[in-house]
Amino acid sequence: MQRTRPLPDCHPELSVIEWPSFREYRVENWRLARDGSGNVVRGATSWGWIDLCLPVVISFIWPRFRGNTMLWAFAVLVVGFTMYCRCVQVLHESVLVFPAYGIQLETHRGYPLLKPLFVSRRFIHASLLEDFIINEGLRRWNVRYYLAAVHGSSTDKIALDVAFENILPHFPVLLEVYQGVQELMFYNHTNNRHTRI
Amino acid sequence: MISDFFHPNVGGVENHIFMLSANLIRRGHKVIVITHSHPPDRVGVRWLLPGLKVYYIPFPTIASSATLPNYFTFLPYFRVIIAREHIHLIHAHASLSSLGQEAILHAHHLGVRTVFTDHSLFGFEDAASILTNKLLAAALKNVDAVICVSHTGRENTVLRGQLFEKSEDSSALVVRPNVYVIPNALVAEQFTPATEPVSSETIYIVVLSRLAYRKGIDLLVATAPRICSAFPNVNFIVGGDGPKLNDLLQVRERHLLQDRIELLGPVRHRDVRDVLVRGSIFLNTSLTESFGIAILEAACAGLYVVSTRVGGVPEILPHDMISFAKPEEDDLIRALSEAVAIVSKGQHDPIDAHQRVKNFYNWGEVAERTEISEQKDLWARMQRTMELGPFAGPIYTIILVVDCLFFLFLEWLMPQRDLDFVHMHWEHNNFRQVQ
Repeated sequence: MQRTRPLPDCHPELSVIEWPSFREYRVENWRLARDGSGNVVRGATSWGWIDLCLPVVISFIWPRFRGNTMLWAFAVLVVGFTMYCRCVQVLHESVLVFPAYGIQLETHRGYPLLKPLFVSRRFIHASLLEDFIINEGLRRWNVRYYLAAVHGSSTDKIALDVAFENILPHFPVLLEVYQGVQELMFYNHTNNRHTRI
Repeated sequence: MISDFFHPNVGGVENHIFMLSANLIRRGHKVIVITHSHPPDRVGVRWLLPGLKVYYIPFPTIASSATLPNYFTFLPYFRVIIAREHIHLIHAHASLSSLGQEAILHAHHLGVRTVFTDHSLFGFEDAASILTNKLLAAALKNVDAVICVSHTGRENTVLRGQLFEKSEDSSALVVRPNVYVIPNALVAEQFTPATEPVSSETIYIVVLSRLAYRKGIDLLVATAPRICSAFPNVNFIVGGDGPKLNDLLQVRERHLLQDRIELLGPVRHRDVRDVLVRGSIFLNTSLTESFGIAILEAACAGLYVVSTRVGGVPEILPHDMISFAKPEEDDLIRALSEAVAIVSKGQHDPIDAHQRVKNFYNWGEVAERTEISEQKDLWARMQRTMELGPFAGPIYTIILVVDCLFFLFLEWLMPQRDLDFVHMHWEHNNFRQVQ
């Protein structure tokens, strides 16, 4: 198992891991700040200063509403919900390429300091996979590039499945993954008709 | 290119934008188009040949493909698209396109030049015109260059948009120097005349236009029965669709002219030439026409043209290829009779006409003349905007200032350095390599 970072200067969150029978393109949920300072901007936070306010708030509320069960139920609900949100943050997303079998899109969620707690996987068989493209789309007030697997389904309709759906990395990362998947899955070395600006 | 009017709608403005973009791409520039979306699913980013990227922004339309003039909602999309595509020049089309006018307002935040092209003529007296002219004047206060498609169009735009300023000795008003006339063009190879001559027993008059009031369909409805009774060997071929189709059907029924007037319904642009070469005369009854590209296409296909003398029509063709009439029944009949006489005597040669028209207008020249350039800071812009008038001036200056604040807010919310910039675009050399 060998792990490399193809874009170490600007996008070190992308790593390529060579497993024995497949290749994994993993994008982790953090990035470098784009002002050149080298700071790390985390997408999944383990703790924040707001967590220290929680005991302070409880210490104020405790003497006043000691007997009120409704409020305690509500408070437990809120704390429970916050903990749940903390534990389903996206840790990393991957595209696994099994040459001749298909590709798999994965999302690993969990608490940032531990191993992933939840994994969702979507496998697309090579016979159904029509193409793997980089598309541009409008998202809220922005225009973003995204990687999509174009595949047919059992009902004969073409569908698009977006890779790295939650993290949505920028174009240089997508280009690396796109080129890798095209090379492994579609075997032909097509001339790239687009040129860099 | 920014306009509300683009494909999949078809029309003069849409065609102009597409052909101009294609020729600018051929000259080596990078061109993108921004327009509004068409439900249900024409939203987002699409590509057209030859390497033209089109952004369909999800704005609803109110009437005939024009969006509401909401001054601020376009700014977020505009800012993101212009910044990520590294655009240097905005070209806005059509006075009724609020997307285009908003783009001229927002462009100065990003330091891009602006050009505005006006395609139509408008009046001055009715309520809609007064409002649109005021909006236009506000938009054009701070544009870098204005292009009109004919000299008549230039006069009209200058008067409507108040594009004059005090001359150096501040005694007279002179037109601003950055108003240009660059005509439309056509692709002459697409409009070649018929190879075999048309039969000389029956003369066909071809009418191809949107069947709407401003295209003078009422005139056609009034004159067609009189022409059919005066000349037994003349038939009409009418193509196109629109609200006035019923009037034409009714006049056909009333005078029993079903075999004299043929109604083709909507005609696709690629079939236009085949319809044109069936006839010998092209009739245009528009009540207002700033350029008249349909007339040019018909003349290129070898037809003799009869048209109402309105707008920019007298400028486009030499007077031996066209007969003019006032937009009234009797004069139109006089002009049509003249045309029928000329064509029956064989005095109009289609092949010769095509050879002449071929060289008049071509898109390459238009693209070359459009490669223009020309900067104003915020205080100067505010002062120019205040000159609009006692009410419109302060209103538009407030809009300008709020626009700046909105832009600052967007800079905080979505900083430009975090945008997904475009690194790769279609390279026109690839076409040449494939060829």
